[in-house]
Amino acid sequence: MSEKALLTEEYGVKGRDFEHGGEASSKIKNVLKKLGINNTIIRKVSIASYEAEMNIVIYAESGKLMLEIFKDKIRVTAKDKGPGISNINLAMKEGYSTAPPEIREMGFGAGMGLPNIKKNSDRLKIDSEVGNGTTLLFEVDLK
Amino acid sequence: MKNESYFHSIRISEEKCLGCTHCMRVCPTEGIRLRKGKAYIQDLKCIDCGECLRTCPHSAITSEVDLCNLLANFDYKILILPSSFASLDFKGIPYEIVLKRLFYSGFNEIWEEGIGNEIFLLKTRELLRKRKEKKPIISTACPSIVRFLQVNFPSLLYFLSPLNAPKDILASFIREERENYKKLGIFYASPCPAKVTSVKNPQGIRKSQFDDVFGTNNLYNKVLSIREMGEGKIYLSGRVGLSMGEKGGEKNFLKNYKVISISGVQEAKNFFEKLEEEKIPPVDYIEMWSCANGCVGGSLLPSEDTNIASFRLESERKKRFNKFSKDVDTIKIYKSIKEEILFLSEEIKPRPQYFLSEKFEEAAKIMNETEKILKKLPQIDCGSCGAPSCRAFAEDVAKGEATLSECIFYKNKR
Repeated sequence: MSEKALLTEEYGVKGRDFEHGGEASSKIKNVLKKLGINNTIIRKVSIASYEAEMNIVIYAESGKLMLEIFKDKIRVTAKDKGPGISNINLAMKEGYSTAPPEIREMGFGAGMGLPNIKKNSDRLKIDSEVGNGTTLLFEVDLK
Repeated sequence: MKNESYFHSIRISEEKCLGCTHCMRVCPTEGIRLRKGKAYIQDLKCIDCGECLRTCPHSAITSEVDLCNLLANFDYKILILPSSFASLDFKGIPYEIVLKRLFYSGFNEIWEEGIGNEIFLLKTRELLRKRKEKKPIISTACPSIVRFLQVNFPSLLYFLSPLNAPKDILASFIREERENYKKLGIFYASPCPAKVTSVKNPQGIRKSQFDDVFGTNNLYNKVLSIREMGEGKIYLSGRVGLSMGEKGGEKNFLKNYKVISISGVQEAKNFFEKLEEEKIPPVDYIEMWSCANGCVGGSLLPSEDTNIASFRLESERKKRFNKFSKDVDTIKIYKSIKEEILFLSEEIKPRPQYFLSEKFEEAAKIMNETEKILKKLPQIDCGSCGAPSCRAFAEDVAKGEATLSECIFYKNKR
């Protein structure tokens, strides 16, 4: 945590804005491409960022994605003002979801978001306060 | 950027270029810059899509095609015509007469590329039937799309069809069939710069089987300016082959599969972004053309409007009563043709040109610098600096390839 990031970028995300949902993670992907990072890593980061971004779109009022590039890893922090997660362990289970029916109808909220982030990252940390918001941080190592 | 040499066929005339920036704005790989008031192409970024050529208001951009200087070197000459040739406005001259006028120019045989299209489509259908994974398959029919993947979306090369392009399948087939012919020359009338380049600098095969290539526009002018007619052997394609001259030709034939059909280089770019992020519905095959409406929109065609060209191609297609060629047995050829003719023999390698630097840490530094510089710029993408956008200019400055004072707004503010 102490090491300074080589590059930091921030992208705002609006809640319930399905029209633009996914743009922040697209931008992250394109930054990583410009840095010449290998495709497997780009793929992992871009899938995980997309899930994190859509979580903000689906559940929160607003939020942001922060991309930090270190010598040896990529970190994405998704911070939102939203309802928070009451039981993180439960939320990590595949198939568990608190998404309302209208969200599920769109194909979101299948309970795969957080497990997918976990699967595509080397470290995942979630801090959440019910009624206040969630900060999700994941890292992918650049071996 | 690496200083490798790479051949593409787009040429800008310094004499005619006024430095108006039109071309720079439409280049899908941001590969054009202005230096000293003249446009120039960063060779490695060129995918020969011809967008610059199409948009240049001063006809300063052309595709390098020698008008058949080589013809005299061959005794037996075979011309392959693209399917889009049948979409041209021959001013009422029937297609048979057009072909006879071409024979007068010295060709012994004329084949329609459509026959290659038919073999290509039959084999593609077989591939789709057999393949369970590694989908969607991206068509190799448009050489500009192949180059676009190499330059901007190398991770998607994985999905590229293993098949050789239709015109190359056909040329290899003809060369085998006519192997006893002495001084045999095979020529292609290209509808676009990309197919010119695919003859002169092929990807995925070691050597092109074409001896020379020229622009369809040259041929068109020739046809309309003579009245003499000659004789020779004609090999026409059927409806299937002819339909690949425009967008939808592959999709229509592969109708039992989930095929998405896309045309236009900007549309291709948007789609590839989505494919890269796995945000597309499940499809089996991607038909993709760099020109609007497919080859009928080629920038070396004399056509004024791609929709009218499409209409004319359809009219010609309706005159073909056979699904496949009636002059050769396409299905028999497809079943007996050698695998090495059908498949690409070499790997199509990535040629990524979007890296800020070869070294990752250096690239991060340049990107940081780019963001800082960008804040000083007006963000109106006026192009006066010679870069296609303020961001591209900021990157050039950060890389040391341009200086900040080239921005007239920055200069005036100071």
